[in-house]
Amino acid sequence: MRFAGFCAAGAAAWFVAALPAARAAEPAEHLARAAQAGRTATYQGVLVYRGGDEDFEVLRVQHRFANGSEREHIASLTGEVRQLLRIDNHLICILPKDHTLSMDGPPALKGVLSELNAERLHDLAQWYEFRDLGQTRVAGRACNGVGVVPRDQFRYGYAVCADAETGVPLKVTLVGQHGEMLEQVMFTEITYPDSIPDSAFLADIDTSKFQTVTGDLPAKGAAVDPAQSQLQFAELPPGYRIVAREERPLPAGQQGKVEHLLLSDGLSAVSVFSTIEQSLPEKPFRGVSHQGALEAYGRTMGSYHITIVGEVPPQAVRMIGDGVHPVFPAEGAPPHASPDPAPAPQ
Amino acid sequence: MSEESLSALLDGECSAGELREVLAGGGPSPAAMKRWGRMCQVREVLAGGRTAPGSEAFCASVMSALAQERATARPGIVERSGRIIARPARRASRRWQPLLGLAAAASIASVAVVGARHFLDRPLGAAGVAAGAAPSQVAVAPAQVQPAAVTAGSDPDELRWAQLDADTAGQLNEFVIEHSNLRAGQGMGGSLSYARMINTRTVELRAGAPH
Repeated sequence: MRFAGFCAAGAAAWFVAALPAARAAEPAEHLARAAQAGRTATYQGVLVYRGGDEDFEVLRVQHRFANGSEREHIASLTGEVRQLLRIDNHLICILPKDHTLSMDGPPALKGVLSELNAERLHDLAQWYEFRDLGQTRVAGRACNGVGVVPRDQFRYGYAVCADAETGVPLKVTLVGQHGEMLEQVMFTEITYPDSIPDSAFLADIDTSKFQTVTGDLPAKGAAVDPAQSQLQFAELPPGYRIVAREERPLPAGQQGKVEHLLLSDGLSAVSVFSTIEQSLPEKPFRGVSHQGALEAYGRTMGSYHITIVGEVPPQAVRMIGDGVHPVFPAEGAPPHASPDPAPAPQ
Repeated sequence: MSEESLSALLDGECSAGELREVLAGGGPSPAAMKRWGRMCQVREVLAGGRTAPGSEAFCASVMSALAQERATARPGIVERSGRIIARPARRASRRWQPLLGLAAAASIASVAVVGARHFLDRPLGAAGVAAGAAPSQVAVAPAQVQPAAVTAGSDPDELRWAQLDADTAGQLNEFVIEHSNLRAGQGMGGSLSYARMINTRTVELRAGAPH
């Protein structure tokens, strides 16, 4: 489980001090400790993931932090063999050979919130309230519960249960607008060995029978200049802004490029992918859809096709999607690709 | 003792023959008992959202009882257990379930393509979202989290992922992985993102999307 950078210790201390109400201080402390422990503790166990639509996975997780280096091995125990190996920011995915995974080249997105600074923590407190949910038990261990409750309808909340002794988050629930569970990861058993050998972070299957895809997780970088984007937004949900931008090849070997914008309020995130007409797949996604907590929105505007995905309420996705428009016509595109958000008929 | 055998046993869907294989195939080794306990916990989690204290002990006692039965009453166990546990008809239907699912997905996909036409090339309309809407208080109580049977949005025209045609669902899944990959570096979304990356592949498999 990885909570890297959610709250750096120093920033968390500032955050706690910045919260005006005394009741908020303790939950924030638990949260900050959980974020830190999730990254710096050494643990192994069995994790259950519950998605929407009754999807679930049982995963074996091994996590080690030693000498400033973080290693993680996540393996599915149910269904097809799938494994993720992570050494710091380097990610290796092992999948059945007949599957594709679009991690073509190391992503180089900049400005991602791998750590929250004081300004961003202050922003986060504007959009979420932190509540003490009391003590509970998960995987047989006493836990402190913290609720991260949104203050408006444009983001979901979280419920975090962190090990009272070690601080490691043992149960994290994404909470919908009516208090319903949208997604959840929960340890059903966990141990804290003094050390986990290097061999645990090697693929424990015959990799010749699988495909291996590698990539680097994006590192934090300089702030993104929204003017570089080929899109503009007439309106964004309160608190959301562009935190990362990249152009990358289209997935699955398709020709052309896609611009990927990440919008975030510091906790919730929405991705906006835009392609120009020459690069469109045969059946571009149009309309709205959802899968568990994930909302998707697709729309064609002149020469542009927009796909938006994110674990946010439909109101947020629709506000972003309905207000997006291209800044200028793409090269070679017909002149009807105007800033008007209402696209020309095809 | 395979995980599938344990799963079938847990479902009460062992045929007489399968039960014989389970009991003859190594018995309740410590590893099998641990797997059994884990599966019991997962089932309880999925059924009720929490695990009952002592559930592992209960599961272990079941395994122990099965072992004892195997040792003392093997000649008769097929007949006795067959009456109680074997459900050949239901077992057979489970084997067909993936094919039935594919057929259903194909028919729903054709409806989805037609149904989505009126969305083409125009804003979708932010129902319930006023321009410049000020943040409002939303009553969310994580302490009272309940599993959501359906998490659909309020738009009756919204299509669930599984209702999309395979090509479209495949495109979306690729974008979701890109999105999850990016989110993974951000903190609280990390654990969910990783699990979702794995789960996305499973959903894609279930939907029969091309790879």
